[in-house]
This record gives sequence, structure tokens and C-alpha cells, in this order.
Amino acid sequence: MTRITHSTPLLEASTLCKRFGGLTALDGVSFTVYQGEICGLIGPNGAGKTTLFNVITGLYTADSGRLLFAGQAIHHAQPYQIAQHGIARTFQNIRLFGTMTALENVMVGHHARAQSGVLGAIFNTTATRQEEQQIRETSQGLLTYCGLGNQAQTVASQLPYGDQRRLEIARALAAQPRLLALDEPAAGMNATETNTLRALLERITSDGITILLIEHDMSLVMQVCHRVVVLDQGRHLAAGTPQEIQKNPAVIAAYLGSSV
Amino acid sequence: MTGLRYASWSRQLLIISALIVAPFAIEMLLGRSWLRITDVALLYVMLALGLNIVVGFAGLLDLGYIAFFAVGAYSYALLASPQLAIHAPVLVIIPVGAALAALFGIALGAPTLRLRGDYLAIVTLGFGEIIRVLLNNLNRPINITNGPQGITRIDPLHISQFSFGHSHSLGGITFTPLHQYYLIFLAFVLITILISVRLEHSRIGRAWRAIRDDELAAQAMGIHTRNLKLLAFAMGASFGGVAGCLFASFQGFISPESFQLIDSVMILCMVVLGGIGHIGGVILGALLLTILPETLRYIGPLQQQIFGTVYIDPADLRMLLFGLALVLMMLLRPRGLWPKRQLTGQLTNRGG
Repeated sequence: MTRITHSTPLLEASTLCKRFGGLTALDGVSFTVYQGEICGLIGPNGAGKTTLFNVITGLYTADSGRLLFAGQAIHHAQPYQIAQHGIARTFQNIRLFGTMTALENVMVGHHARAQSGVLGAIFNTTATRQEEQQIRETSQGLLTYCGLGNQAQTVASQLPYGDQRRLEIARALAAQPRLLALDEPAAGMNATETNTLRALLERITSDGITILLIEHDMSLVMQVCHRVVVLDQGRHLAAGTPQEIQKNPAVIAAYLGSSV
Repeated sequence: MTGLRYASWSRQLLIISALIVAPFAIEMLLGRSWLRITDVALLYVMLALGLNIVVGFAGLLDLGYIAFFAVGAYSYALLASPQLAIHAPVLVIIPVGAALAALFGIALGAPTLRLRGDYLAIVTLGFGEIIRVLLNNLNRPINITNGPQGITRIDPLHISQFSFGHSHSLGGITFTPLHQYYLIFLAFVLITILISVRLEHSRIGRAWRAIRDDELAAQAMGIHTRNLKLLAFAMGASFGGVAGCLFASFQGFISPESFQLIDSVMILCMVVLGGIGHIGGVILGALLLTILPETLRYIGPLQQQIFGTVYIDPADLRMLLFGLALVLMMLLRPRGLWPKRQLTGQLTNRGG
């Protein structure tokens, strides 16, 4: 893979803390995601990866610390505002709109980027019809982009597991994000599906979207990520290229257990 | 053209002309009382469609929906009766009734935004009761609602000189008030259906369904869940408010007794029995649950004829059969009599 120098910060977290009662899930985490890269976020179970995702996407509010996205403070923003800022996400335990078709799921993803409201719908104005038509076409395009082109009319809850994961990505892309946050997209996938996913992720970045990736499949992380951030017990443990991380003694100790 | 998905223009024209002729057929074949029942059934169709926006589209369980019907009815009654000595024009009252009901919808929605399912049901149930108790007691110290006695001598619907309370003839056909109310209710029902269909297949309707399916994911997709839930409450309530205005003008008399918990439950049953979230099913549910109980009225005289005495009071029988019907429904058709098919319908690409 060609090494790209990523120098413009897109997402900057500084000393984020999040406590749940007596449990400190995030303990002063600072890290940066640079524009155009695939940044891996790894760590043992319970390291605080998903909590960090929830803080970034506004589902949790950090107790302290700052979060800058493209220079704007977003640590007090509501989830819907985060989406408008340009961060879209997928979920570790798939959260599709189960009664809706694949196409409709992706169409919902456009919500933040569309305007038509109640009156437009009731009076069926030209602007509304055009917007609907455009959303429909773009959504179909996104399904094809994610390899689900012929599943448009399938109800989301009836799709095979791997397709559901890719549908979540398509839905997130519909929000036209600058940062795509993926929470274990390869979980439960077989080798073939993971390969397809890897190609998709590379294509998404080549189209200019930055990716923040939580993943337990280490070979996938090491293959696609430009940089990797390691969390352990709510703390930032290390950051660097996949090669550096693999050799980092602290990371090895965190994963395999330290003898000290 | 979403409104025309199911039928071509000619088929729609045929259906509409059949609907216009229907009241004459009903009156001729079944008698005047059945025409009255049909009029009331149309009001219930409006109510059920309004509740369907809240419960069916947005997935918010509302057990106090009759309160919005009450707000609309009292808006009309107070603005068009000797009670406050106001006789405002209908074209003012109906929008006021709809807007007031929408405001009450927001007043109910705002404190309950974080609640779902059972908890939301309990609060909305309480809200419905609060409105009824208020209406019952707002006769002291200043008499506004006239308390349990209710408001009488409410003006019939009238547009300038044309009053729906008097008979009119046109081309040799006499339109009685019941005919005229039928036609105006039908017009309102058709508008309600059109609005429901268009909302369902719009960006707003999609966002409501997203909230219903998974609120957290909906938020993450940029949906302002608070505003959209309030919108659902307000839209549903305003349908109820308009239906309430029409009801008050139709009856000429209203009292808090017409707006009880059991009425909220009945409307919810219409939605659930017909097919929650499916406009056709909801209409079917509303029609069945208004018309079927009325047929039981014949059971009393029938028993008298056959056995010489009335063994089962038709009123008891009504609740018994109603309960039985609900249990059977849950066992045999849990998604309603006419549920929405998931794979067809809304996805045919028409593109306007």
C-alpha cells in the first residue's frame, strides 16, 4: 500500500474522560485522526473503544475533555448535530431499521442532507418530488457501491449478516460524512466477506472519506489502516503505524498480559 | 404522484361517485338511523387515521388520544354556541380547533419525550383523564365549559348562509342534514387519507418509521428525534381536533361524558385491529368497530321475539364479543385484519 502523509487533523480528541458510576471508561484519552486516512482503534475487550465512539458521535457526553472536528468543538453536540457536522457511524450490534427495506434504510441516511418538510410532503410540491427522486437514485447508487445493488427491496432484517453490516455502511455513507466511524464492521464475517469489506474500505478512503475503524480482526487492521491507536483500560496506550504497533512492548503486554 | 398509487384516475372517480351515492342507498335500504351511524363512522375513520400517525407511523403508544377530540369539540362548542355568546364562522373555528389540539399534542409530547412503550402509555392515559376532569370542573368560579351538564345548542356547520342543519334540495333530490354531514365528513376523510399517504411516503414519514424501529440509530443518522416526535403528536392531535369540531357541530350537544378512557381505547383498537401503520387497514378497523357494535342492537328485540324475554342485555353482549374478538385477533392475526405488506406497495418507482 502506498504510504500517504496525512498532516491535516480532522478529529482531535484531548483528555476525554467518561465515568459510569465508579467505572472510568475513558481516562484522559487524547488522539488525532488525520484527513484521508484509515485510523484503526484497537484494544482488549473493555478498553473503552465503543464508549469513545459513543462520545464522538454524541450518544454520550464526555465528563471532561475536548473534541474538535474540522476545527469545531463538538463535545456538547447532540447526535443529530454530529451527523450534520459530517460524522456518520455504524454499530457493533447492528442497528438497522428492521421493518424497512435496504433502499429505505439508505434513504433515511439522507435525512440530515435533505430539506423537504411537512408542507412539502402534504402538498407534494415539485421541489419535494425532485428531492425524493434524487434521494432514491443516490440511495440505489450507494447500495450498488456497497455491493448490495440487487437487494434494494429486501427488508433489512431479512438480509444475511454480512449484507446487514455493509448496509449499515451504505446508510452511513448516505449522510455524506467526512468521517466514517465503523464499530467492528468485520465481526462475524468469513474470510471472503472480510476481503470484500477490505476492498470497500479502501474504495471509500480513495473517494476522500476518512475512516475511524474499531476492529478485532488484526490482519484486517494491519492491512488497511494507515495508523493505529491503541486503548487499554480507558487510557491511550500507543499510536503509530501498524508495524510500529505490532512491535510495541506495551501493546503486546496489554494483549497478552504482562509478566510484571 | 404518491396519492394515486393504488388506483388510476378512472377507478378513483368510480370509488368517489359510489361514496357520494352511498348515503342515499343506506337510507333507503337500512333506514335513517344507519345513515347517522355512517356519519359517526366517518368521524371515527378520521380519529383512527390521526392516532395512526402517532402510534402506527412514529410508534408512540398514546392512550389519551380522545383528549384531542375533546379539545376540538370544545373549541367548536365554545366558539359557536350561546355558552359564551360567541358565534364565530366555521372557517375560523376549524383551524383554531386543529391548532389548539396540536398545541395540546405538543404539551403532551414535550414531557414524555424520553418515555416509550408502557411508560408512555401510562402518562398519555393520565393526560386524557386530566383533560376530561378539567372539562368537568371548569364551571367554577367562572363557568366556561358548563361542567358535567355540557354545552347545548351548538351551531350546526354553516358556510355563510348555507347551514348543514337544514335540508336543501338540488335538482329534485332532497339533501337532509345527515346527507350533508355525510358529504362534508367524507371530504374531510379523503383529505385526511391524502395527507396520511403523502406523509407516510415522505422524508418525514421515513424518519418517523426510523424512530419507531430504532431511535438511537435514527439519531445517529441525523434525525432530530425530539422535533419529529413532537411533530407526530401535533399532526395526530390536529386530526383529532378537526374531527372534534365536526363532531360538536354534528351533535349540537357535547359533555365530558363523550370523551372517556374507553373511547381512547376504542380508537386504539381500531388502529390495532385493522392493521397498525397501514392506512387501508386502519380505515377498515374504524368502520368495523363502529358498525358491528350497532348491529347488536337488534339482538334485544330478536331475543324478545324468539324467547319472549331478553336473556342477555345487548350492552353486555357488546363488551363480551368485543373482548372475544380481540383475543381471537391476537391469536389468529396479530398484525391486524389488513396488515401492511412489507415487500410491495411503497417501493414502486413513480418519480412524479
